[in-house]
Amino acid sequence: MIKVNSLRVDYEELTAVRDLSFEVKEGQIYGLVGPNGAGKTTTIKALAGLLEPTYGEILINNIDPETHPREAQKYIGYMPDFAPVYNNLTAWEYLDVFAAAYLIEKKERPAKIKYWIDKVKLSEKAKVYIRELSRGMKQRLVLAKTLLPNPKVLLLDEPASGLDPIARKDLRDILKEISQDGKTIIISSHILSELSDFCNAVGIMEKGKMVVSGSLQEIRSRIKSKGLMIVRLAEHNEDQSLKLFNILNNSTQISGLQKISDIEIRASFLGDAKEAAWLLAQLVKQNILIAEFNVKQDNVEDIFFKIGAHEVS
Amino acid sequence: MLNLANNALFIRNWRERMRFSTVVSYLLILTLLIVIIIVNAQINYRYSEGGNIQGHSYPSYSQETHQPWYQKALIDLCALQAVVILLFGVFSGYKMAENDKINGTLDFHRSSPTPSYIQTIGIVFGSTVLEWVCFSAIFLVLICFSFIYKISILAILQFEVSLVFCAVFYHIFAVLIGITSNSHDNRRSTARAFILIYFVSMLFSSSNLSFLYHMTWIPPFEQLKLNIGENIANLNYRYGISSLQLYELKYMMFGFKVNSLILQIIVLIPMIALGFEGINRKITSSEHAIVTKGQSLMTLLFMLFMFLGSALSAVLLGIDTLNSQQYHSGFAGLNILPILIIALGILGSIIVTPTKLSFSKGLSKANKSGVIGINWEDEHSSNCYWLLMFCFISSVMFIFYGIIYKATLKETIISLIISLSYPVFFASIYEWFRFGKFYNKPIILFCIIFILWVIMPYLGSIIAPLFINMGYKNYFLAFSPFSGAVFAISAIQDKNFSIIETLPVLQVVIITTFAAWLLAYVRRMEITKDILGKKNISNIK
Ligand SMILES: Nc1ncnc2c1ncn2[C@@H]1O[C@H](COP(=O)(O)OP(=O)(O)OP(=O)(O)O)[C@@H](O)[C@H]1O
Ligand SMILES: [Mg+2]
Repeated sequence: MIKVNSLRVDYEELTAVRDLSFEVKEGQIYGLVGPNGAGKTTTIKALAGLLEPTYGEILINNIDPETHPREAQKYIGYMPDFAPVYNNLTAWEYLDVFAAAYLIEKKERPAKIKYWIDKVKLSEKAKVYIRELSRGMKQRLVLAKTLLPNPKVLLLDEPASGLDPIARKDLRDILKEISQDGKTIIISSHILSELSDFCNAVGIMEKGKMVVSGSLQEIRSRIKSKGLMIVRLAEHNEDQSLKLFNILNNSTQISGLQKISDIEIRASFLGDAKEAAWLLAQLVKQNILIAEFNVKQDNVEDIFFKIGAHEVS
Repeated sequence: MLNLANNALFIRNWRERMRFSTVVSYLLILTLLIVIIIVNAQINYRYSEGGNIQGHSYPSYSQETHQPWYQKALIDLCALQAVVILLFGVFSGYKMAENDKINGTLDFHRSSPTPSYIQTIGIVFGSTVLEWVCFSAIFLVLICFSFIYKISILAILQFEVSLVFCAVFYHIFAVLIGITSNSHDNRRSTARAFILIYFVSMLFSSSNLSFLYHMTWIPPFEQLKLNIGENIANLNYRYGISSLQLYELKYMMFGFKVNSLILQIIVLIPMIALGFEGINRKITSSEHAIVTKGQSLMTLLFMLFMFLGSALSAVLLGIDTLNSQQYHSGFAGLNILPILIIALGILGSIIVTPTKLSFSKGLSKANKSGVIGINWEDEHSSNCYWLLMFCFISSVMFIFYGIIYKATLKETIISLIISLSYPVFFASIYEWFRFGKFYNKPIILFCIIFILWVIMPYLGSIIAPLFINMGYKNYFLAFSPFSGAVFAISAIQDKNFSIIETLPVLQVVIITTFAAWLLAYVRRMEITKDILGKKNISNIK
């Protein structure tokens, strides 16, 4: 759905994005992650056709927004990292203006506006001037504006900033729901734990370059992400403890075995869930009484910190 | 196209400006003003009928006060209408457009599937919608007036149509300035925009050149007053014009007397189209230049063509020959072709010269699509071919100009070379600067220009007395386009202007212009080599 090839974007003074290539498939939620100034906003703006790339290729649904801007815009819903609003309009009027901008017929507008204003929980504030709304409410209003024309591709730049926990959950639910309709979403955020549980792909940017990009599994294997395995016995038993240690020690997937206490062992685990299950089956077969068997995989946040610490080559 | 109910930017402006309370209060104030104007006209009328109560005599006013009170009221109402639609309209056009730009909401419109020309219509007419409502309200009053007091409805209609064209023209430029503003310092940029618009229009209104004059709001008024029965002598008194011929010149093109409304349409429609296209381009991409190179050349051609029209009329009227000193006063005179060319050239080159970034972008794009160089018309391209075209157009016009005024070929060519050298010099230096390391420090360019254009001539006038031959002074003066324009004008009109005086000027301008061109050329080549030498362009720093 979205294809970016050797993208380079310059500002007068500096190159904000260089040699950026990635691809987002239809129905994917793609998280764009990176520290401040990494070039996330710049990338999203170039995708939305608001910044002219210096070089490289962008394809949205196989349309180049540079040569066919109006064609491409039909597919794009763009939400910037701050909330641009008309302070002297009411929330309803604001949505009406942009419904018209997206060429929605006058008759259809009220129903759509009503639907989305309910969805972002602003129906009480529909007739209130936007200047009297709180920051989070403005953010939600802009989200409603972005979703209202039902675009195929959503470019969301830090949509969760300024939202309270409940609103964040709502946002997550809305995004999950619309991605099930086959929408493609690019979302940039600092709050990584937010992304990790519903993005199916991430791209991690640093200083204008893509460090890694792909689905979470791919990235985990690429950066040899180690899971933490915790095994706890039901009771202290020298014999069982020795058996357990031997089995784990013989597994090729395990390294850095550590005895935390008489009944608890920790280790780094390189395998996937299937291999972990197989290992557990072995233990059970040997009649070892296991109270806890847990493999914790790195989430996006851990990966991000590893990248920050240059653990990725 | 004019489906305004579905035009997002129009709806936005309409909603914001047409709140019930706002409209009512505006109309109330308007009614009050109309009443004041009518009452004022009636009182003045009675006062003057009663004779000179205070014993003073007003010889010049006596003529005016013979008009019936409703004529005075009508003219004042028209003035009110003009103030509302021009002054307030320009103000809100600018304000609303700037607001959209600075809030970031314009980006939402730009990234919407609405065609950009529809957005342009929406922003131009939406931002001024309240003024148009007031305009229509006054129009209704004027129509009533014309029926009750049997004033020619045609005169009023002509005025209204004229005013509409004028208003659209000014609104478009106000919106254009609004959506190109970057500053968050609103008050200062507003002031700047207004000073610019009104200074330029005042300058134009004092011009005898019909095409500049008809870009201002004065011709509709003049015509209105004439059409409802005032005589020209009155007008002459009011505007301080001593000669009827000069008045006639303002309504002539190529020797034909043209109806004011038609002349206005001929002049304003291309300008409106240019401004409209500018907004359109800015909405399509905020990084675009306001006009393309081709459009800027077309504008130049149009301006110079209209200028020739005025010059020819002046010669046919017998009020201007190159050798008469009678009407050559500054901008009001007709001998300003060299000044016009220098000014338009410098202005144009500021608009069309790309930055280094933009130039590199163009190069790498051309390279990607397999072409070697950038098409000269492309906005990423260097200004050198634009300059060539500029010189060509100017030269053709200059030769006609020489023919009209019966100057010799030698005089014409010397004057032409001097006139063209300054724009070429400036454009080259400007490009050299924009492609260089310090492009973001305009103060450096300003210093260079200041030294060459101000300090050098000043230095010249200080040390000139040291030489016996005062001609040396010209070496210094020639650096500045201000004295350069004087040389160019003298070269074509003044029979006593000797070759000894022009020689140093020619030497200086040719050498400096060539040097500047060379500087720009070398820098351009450096960048081109740098970009085309690399394989993977996305990786260049
Ligand atoms: N309008 C601009 N003009 C010049 N430089 C800019 C402009 N906008 C951004 N930059 C620069 O481009 C780089 C990338 O900025 P960008 O806004 O894309 O980062 P980001 O990843 O979105 O950061 P954040 O997480 O803070 O939003 C930064 O170094 C920034 O200074
Ligand atoms: Mg950002």
